[in-house]
Amino acid sequence: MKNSIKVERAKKDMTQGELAEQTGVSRQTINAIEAGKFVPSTLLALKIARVFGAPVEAIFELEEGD
Amino acid sequence: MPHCFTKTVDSYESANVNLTAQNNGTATWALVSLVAWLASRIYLMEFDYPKPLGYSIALLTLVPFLVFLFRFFKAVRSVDELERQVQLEALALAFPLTVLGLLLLSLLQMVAPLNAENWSYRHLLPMVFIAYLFGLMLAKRRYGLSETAAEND
Repeated sequence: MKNSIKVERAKKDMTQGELAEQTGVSRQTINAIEAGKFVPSTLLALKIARVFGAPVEAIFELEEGD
Repeated sequence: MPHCFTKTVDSYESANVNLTAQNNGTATWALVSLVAWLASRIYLMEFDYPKPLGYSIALLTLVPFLVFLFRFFKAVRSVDELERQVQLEALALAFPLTVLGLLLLSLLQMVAPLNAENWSYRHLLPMVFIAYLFGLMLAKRRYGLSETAAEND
């Protein structure tokens, strides 16, 4: 699953730490999600989408083989 | 910096401090459990004692371990989902490896009498921790938690 967290963060000039703080997880977790190493739970994906004010499908997208 | 942001950051940092303190408490109780087990083992091996005292010492050794278990569960439940996944993968490796070791030992004991002093079930104990730490290392590497690189912003 790919995501556009990095792009959305850049738009809002937000650091990984700030996003982590707003979603209640560690910066390492945001880093792992952003790098595509970890797929977040539905709850965390919704929280991330809410921070960016976008629907979850705009942030996370299924890839071939998912 | 706006007050509301400062407050949020403060509460997050406070939560992190609490979590670290909780994890430190878990590590302390793991150490206490180990020391209690070693002390009991040395006493039971080296000294003469009445059987009721021996049973009491063996059972009392479980108390710090039960405290450790309680704190470990509490710590795992309080961490975020990535750290929980890492712990799950570490335990998912340690548990089957331990079972494998027990199965192998039970079969080998049928083939040849194994000396309890040189090779017995209690020798599997350090292997459990080694397997757990190995699993932890693999999982952390998989999710990039072992990297100490600066924030990738």
